[in-house]
Amino acid sequence: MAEKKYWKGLEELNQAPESAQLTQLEFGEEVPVEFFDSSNDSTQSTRRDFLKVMGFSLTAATVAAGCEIPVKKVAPYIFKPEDVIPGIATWYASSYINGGDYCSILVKTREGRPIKIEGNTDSKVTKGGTSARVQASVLSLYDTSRLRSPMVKGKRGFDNVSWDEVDKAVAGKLAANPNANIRILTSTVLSPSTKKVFAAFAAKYPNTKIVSYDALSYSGMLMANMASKGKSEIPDYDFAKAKTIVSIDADFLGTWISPVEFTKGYTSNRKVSKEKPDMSRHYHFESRMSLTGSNADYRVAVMPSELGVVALNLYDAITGSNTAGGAKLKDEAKQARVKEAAEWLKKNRGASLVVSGCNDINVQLVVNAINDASGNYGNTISFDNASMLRQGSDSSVKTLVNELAGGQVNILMVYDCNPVYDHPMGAKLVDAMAKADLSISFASSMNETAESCGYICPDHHFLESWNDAEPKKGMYSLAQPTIMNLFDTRQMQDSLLTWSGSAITYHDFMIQAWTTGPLAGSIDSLNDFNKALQIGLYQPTSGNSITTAVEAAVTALAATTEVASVNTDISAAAGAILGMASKAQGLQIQFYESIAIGDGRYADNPWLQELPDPVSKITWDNYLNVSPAYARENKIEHGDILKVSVNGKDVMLPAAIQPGQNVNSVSVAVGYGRTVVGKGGAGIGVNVYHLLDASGECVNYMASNVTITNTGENVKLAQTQTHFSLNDGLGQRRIVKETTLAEYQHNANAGNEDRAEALAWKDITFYPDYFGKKNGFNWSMAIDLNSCVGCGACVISCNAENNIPIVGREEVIRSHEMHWMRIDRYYAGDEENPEVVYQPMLCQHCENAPCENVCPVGATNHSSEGFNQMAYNRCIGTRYCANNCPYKVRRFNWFDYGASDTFGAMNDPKGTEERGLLEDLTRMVLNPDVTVRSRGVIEKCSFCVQRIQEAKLTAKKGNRELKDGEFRVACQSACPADAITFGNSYDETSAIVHEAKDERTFGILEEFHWVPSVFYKTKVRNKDKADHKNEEALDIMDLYNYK
Amino acid sequence: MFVSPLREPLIQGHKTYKQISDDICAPVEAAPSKAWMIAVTLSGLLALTGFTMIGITITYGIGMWGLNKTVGWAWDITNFVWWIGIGHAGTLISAILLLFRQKWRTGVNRSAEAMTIFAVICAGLFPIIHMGRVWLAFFIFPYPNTRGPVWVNFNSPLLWDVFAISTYFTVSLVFWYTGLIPDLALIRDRTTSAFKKRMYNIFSFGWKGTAKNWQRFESISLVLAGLSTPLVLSVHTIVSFDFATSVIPGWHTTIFPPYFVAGAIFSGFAMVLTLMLVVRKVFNLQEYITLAHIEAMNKVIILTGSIVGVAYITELFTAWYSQNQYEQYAFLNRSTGPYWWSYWGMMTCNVISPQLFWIKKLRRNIVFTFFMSIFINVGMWFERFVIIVTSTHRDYIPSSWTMYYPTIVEIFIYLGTIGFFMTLFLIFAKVAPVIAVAEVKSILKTAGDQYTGPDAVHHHEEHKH
Amino acid sequence: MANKKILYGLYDDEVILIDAVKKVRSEGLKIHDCYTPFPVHGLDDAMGLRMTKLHSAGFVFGATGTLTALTFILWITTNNYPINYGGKPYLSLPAWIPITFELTVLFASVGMFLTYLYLNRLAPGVKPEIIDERTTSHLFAMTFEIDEHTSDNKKEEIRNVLTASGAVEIHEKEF
Repeated sequence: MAEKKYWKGLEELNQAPESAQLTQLEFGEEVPVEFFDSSNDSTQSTRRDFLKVMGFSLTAATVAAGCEIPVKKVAPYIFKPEDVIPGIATWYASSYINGGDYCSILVKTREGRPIKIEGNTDSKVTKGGTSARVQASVLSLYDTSRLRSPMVKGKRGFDNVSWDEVDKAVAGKLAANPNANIRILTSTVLSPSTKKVFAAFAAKYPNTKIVSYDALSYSGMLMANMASKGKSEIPDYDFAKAKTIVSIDADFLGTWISPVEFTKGYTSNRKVSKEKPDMSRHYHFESRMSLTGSNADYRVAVMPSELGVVALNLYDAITGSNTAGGAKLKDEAKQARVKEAAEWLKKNRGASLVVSGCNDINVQLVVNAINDASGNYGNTISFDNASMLRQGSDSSVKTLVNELAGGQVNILMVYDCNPVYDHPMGAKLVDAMAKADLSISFASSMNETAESCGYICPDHHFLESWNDAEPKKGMYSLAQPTIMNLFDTRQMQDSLLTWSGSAITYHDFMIQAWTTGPLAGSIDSLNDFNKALQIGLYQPTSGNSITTAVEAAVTALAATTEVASVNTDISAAAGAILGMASKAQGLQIQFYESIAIGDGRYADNPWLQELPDPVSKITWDNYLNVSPAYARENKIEHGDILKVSVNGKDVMLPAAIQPGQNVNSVSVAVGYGRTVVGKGGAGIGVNVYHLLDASGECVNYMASNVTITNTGENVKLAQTQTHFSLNDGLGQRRIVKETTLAEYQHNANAGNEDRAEALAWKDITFYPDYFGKKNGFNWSMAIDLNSCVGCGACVISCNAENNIPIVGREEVIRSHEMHWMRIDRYYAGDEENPEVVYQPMLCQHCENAPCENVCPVGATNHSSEGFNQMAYNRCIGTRYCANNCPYKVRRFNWFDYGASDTFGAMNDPKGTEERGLLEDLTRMVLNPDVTVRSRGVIEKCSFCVQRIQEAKLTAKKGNRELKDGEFRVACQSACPADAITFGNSYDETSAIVHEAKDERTFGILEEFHWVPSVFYKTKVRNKDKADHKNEEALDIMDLYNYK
Repeated sequence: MFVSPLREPLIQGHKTYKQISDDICAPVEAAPSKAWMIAVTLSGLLALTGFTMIGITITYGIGMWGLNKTVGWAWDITNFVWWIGIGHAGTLISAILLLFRQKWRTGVNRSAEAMTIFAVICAGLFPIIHMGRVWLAFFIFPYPNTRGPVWVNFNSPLLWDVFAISTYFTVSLVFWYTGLIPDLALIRDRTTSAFKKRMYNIFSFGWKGTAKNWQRFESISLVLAGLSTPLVLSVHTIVSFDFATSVIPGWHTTIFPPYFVAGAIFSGFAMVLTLMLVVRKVFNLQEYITLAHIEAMNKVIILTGSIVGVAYITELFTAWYSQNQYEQYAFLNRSTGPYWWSYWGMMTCNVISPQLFWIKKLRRNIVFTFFMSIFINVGMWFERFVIIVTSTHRDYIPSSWTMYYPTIVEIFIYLGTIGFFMTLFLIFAKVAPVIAVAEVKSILKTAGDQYTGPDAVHHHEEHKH
Repeated sequence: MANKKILYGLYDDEVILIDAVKKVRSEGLKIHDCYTPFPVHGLDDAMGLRMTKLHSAGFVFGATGTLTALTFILWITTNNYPINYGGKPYLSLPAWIPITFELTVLFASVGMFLTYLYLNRLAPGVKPEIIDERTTSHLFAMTFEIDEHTSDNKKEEIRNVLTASGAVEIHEKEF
């Protein structure tokens, strides 16, 4: 079937002759080629031809002279859809559901195109926060690798077929044998209605079983909870209530279960003010440097095998028992921290929280026991609104693979997961699948698993789908289409319904499920449903769950897995843990989920690929984290290609020297090295899933006896920051200011005393505040370094809002990345346990901006509202402003990254064409309110001026003043930590003024009197002054000179 | 009519006016030699490569160069400042030395001025091609327009540059051509070929050489000299403002104007030497460009070299004395950071080696002088590189620190300008007298070795050994 | 006047020429002009030529440049296109000094050069009346205007004076 056409105007859609021509011809008129081609003597070139050619070269010359931009015709609406007003955005409440990832969102559409996602503040789960993945998901809607129609495997690869053909074939197979063994392999399903669809399907075909698993498994936790709490569920953690937080390798701010939700809660309790001069105390034990670890007050780097020992020691310290049997951390200082953590847990009994990311039943049991002992259940932990975000079971997958291998499965359906790629037994699965009579994948773009299926029935993108979700028990969320499906795809649920012979669509099915489910009680349930749809949420105070309705059914048909009887006895668990710890010899490795790419399902998203890892700042790659000490003694340099042997299998990985990595261990991110993927992820990184050990009940994300050999080759890693320390050897640069809680409580100015001195110079100037203070607006921003966890949601939000181009790996290596908003990360103190600070950095919109003075053509100058504004059309690209910017936030279009060049797309031979925003389809994500910058101009943060103007106009139309907080800039709205405040600093009542007056507030390099409009608030650490290392330099200052 | 008896003659070999004309015009009148042809071809090819690379840059984007988010300028502006600096010697020799009535200038001023003009052409190339959107370069001129109107930013040092460089070029050209007219007339009157006669008649503007002509000639030469002297100083001062008025540690330095001017003269004289030493050999004009000339220039080199040296030390002192961490780090990084080699290369070439010229023997040693002149030009290139790159690549915010490495494109654009420069100079040397004939004649009596003044005998003795 | 005739003597040394000029003028003869291969100092005095006003013209041009620059920039920055660049005043005189200076020099030198060309009747392709082609190389010519009305003894007198003052050659030339 022909490729689905996405059109820029009706004229083009209907292929009006001239527009059809225009798409082929750069210049209006045909050029007589034979004029140049002398070999063809049949044609005589006439004087007229000659003139044409002259005309052509003339036009060419003018185009080259930049006077004429190639014409692209657009057509206005002829029959205007009533809900589309050109130039006005339409917002839809919906839900971001992607495997176990969930977020309640608002979708901004322009002229019918979804272009931006914001958090839904009404949600009790995500509370308006978003993550980088959520922000970037809108781009995957326009992913060029999406399948255009259903496909069937033929002799030579896949052929496009129509849905009728597929339905006929599948229905045929089903009808042939209604008692066939059907397995639906899926990732965690959040949607109750979908579960009902499964149930309905199973009702028709009795031998259907649902096998669900999570690529990054939590079944250890689920089983432990089953054992100790009788519930195979993940409880609801309330980080906001926790005064003491002890995390044993749980990256709850980055990847663990529900990061957005947890970040909200966690940071709400990290904000300090004169009103509330108190914050939580966070201990973190882990082997690699995770985002969460980097935010902890006290972080202890231990070997992966020691994590269990830490748990036991904590348990002993609290309960006074001796399960550890003397086993403890070798390093005294580290052991002392464990004791200290235990003390704090006791101190805040009932208001503390212990979490662990280990996929190990025993460790989880101990953790549960600790939480029990410190009385956290019912306080900070509860099962009332248990999280549904992870439901997968490792053992069930194993059973399935064996069944398949044994040929006991007739029909396999794979939904929303990619086991061939992301399951340790993937390779085995490929052969096993071949034994099934029929295998169907619902993948919306080709992936490793779909490739080895007989049929592919592409699913809609979630922005094209009807759906619902129950992220937490009794808290519902709805998803509605924000655009008609771009391609000839069909929702999995519709497919199943069709095949199970039901007449209704999934949309109607869903409404039924709701009216009989959560809204059963209501008088006008349909109306209530629409209300819920409008806000995208239904959060009854007393949760009556439709899952309960279908639970029975689903659990009945969930693959019965022989769960080994787990003992709730701690001492036994301790034995197991200690046994494992003693077995762990040699160098250990840990496999982790990366913030951006997740389990690999985001690999095709260039925004996420180019998002620097919050800690390592490396993009477009996975790599083996090795500690500086280990690198030194083994002569490993940054970027050296290492041969890593784990569990008898080898992979080649580039080394990344990572402060904070435990000396005796290394770590590597899963989710890279996709082989069957769109061009976004093609050839990026190495797949390490097959190194995992799945022999136990739960997949083990750690391994020991790792051997590493240096191949001697070296690659450059695409790293956006290669210098580590604010201490340049002459002392600490006062760019980030820090203090400790005790000091702050004693003096609100702590760490910020030198500001007074800096401001004292304000009046000693050649031009005493010439423009003075005016009425109206003066925009200003404040960023609380204590709230910012460095997750990077703001970076992607900024990308989406401001059409920031992707430059690709090669260009990042050359330091050509274009991000307007970046997050600087600095280390201080010792190599294995550095203190980390994150500092979001964007244009500071200085009142006396150094960049403005130097522009010869005045392309950048100061607006009356305090913007440092760029006139792209005026910019000739001398880059003088970028040189003269002390904050280095100005970005230059080295190549035609945005494909908006006067010459038309003309990129460097190797460069951006590969992954950039150059495809027409991808360009549908562009924000029409923001210019796409051409090659050779400087660009930078504009304070989202387009949003401000929109808000001002709305206020004007309403004939009223613009209210404070009426609009939010992109980075601000995306932030799950509410770290960013933005507003009018002339409005004394505004939040920004309140922030600006705070004792913790400072501006970067204020002493130079550039008068930045962006303020930062001192970072406060809840640790003892003696342990505060922020003044110290890290032993390795950078990686360029690292030897 | 006075000359110090201690001065050795600037024109040797008992020349008569006739001989002077013959000697200096000889290379112009003779058919192009094989050596000349080869030289022109080679330098021409080099120039061509350079322009091809410029073409590539404009086609694909500045990304073809090694610049990045932190280092926005590198070879482009380094070369710009380097060429401008070289240019300055020409104006200096013709203008300042004229004001000081330094007779020895007559031997070298013509080619020095030519060098100025060609150097400025090469220099001017870079600010244009370094633009991201060179096709909009006309934006930098304050011309009336229908865009608002939109005018340029008169606070920007880069705009000052535009005016400084274009003025400098124009004035140098005028100055040079004024002096060239009588000499072109000379060739016009000597040549026998009708074609040459016509051509030279056109370019000599119909010069007659009446008393009144010469009177005005003297007048305009003097005034132009008077104007060029502050001009040449202002030009490099303004170039230094590009950095001095910025806020980047290592750029933001009040010492720059004098320091840059001294550096300019320094490198300029070196370049003049490089060229003259070749020219005098190739066109055998040893009797007009004598050791006396070379020594005099070497003395200037010691002086300016030392000034530059003092400037370097002062910078270090200021950094330490300022107690400004960022400033201090900038200089620590220069001397010990990843680009240490460029800093110490600069120090050796510019400060240490020229001190050898205190030794008279070396000062008058042609081979040594030649290599030294090359050395100094390298050193001065390093100086600009040090200032531009080592300052920007590590400035205020450590997160943005990067390294800069040139690409092949940049390298060949630079070499290309050298080729272009040589090509222009070779052509010039073929079509016009490389020595100001009239001016040399005017000093024959006073500074020639057949000087007929009171201490003539003394001179003859001087000349013998 | 009918076709112009020139009677001239050639000298081979500027020192002799200057003496000659003095001598000839003391004889009360009107020298038409002198042609020399290079500027001979003192010749203009000997011939009693006025000092040129060229340099004063230069000053006027320069002043024009200064004024143009200042008024132009002032008008743009404060009146026609006032823009806030880095919080600096619209009227920030220090920033204008460089451009003002450059324009002063530019106007002065270019203006002078053009005046110079005009006064000397110099322009590309002008056909000069060449007395003797060696005068641009190594000979110095002293010329007298004569015509058919000039009496022979008058010519004779000139010739004698020329020979006496050390002229190496004496010719008549018609244009």
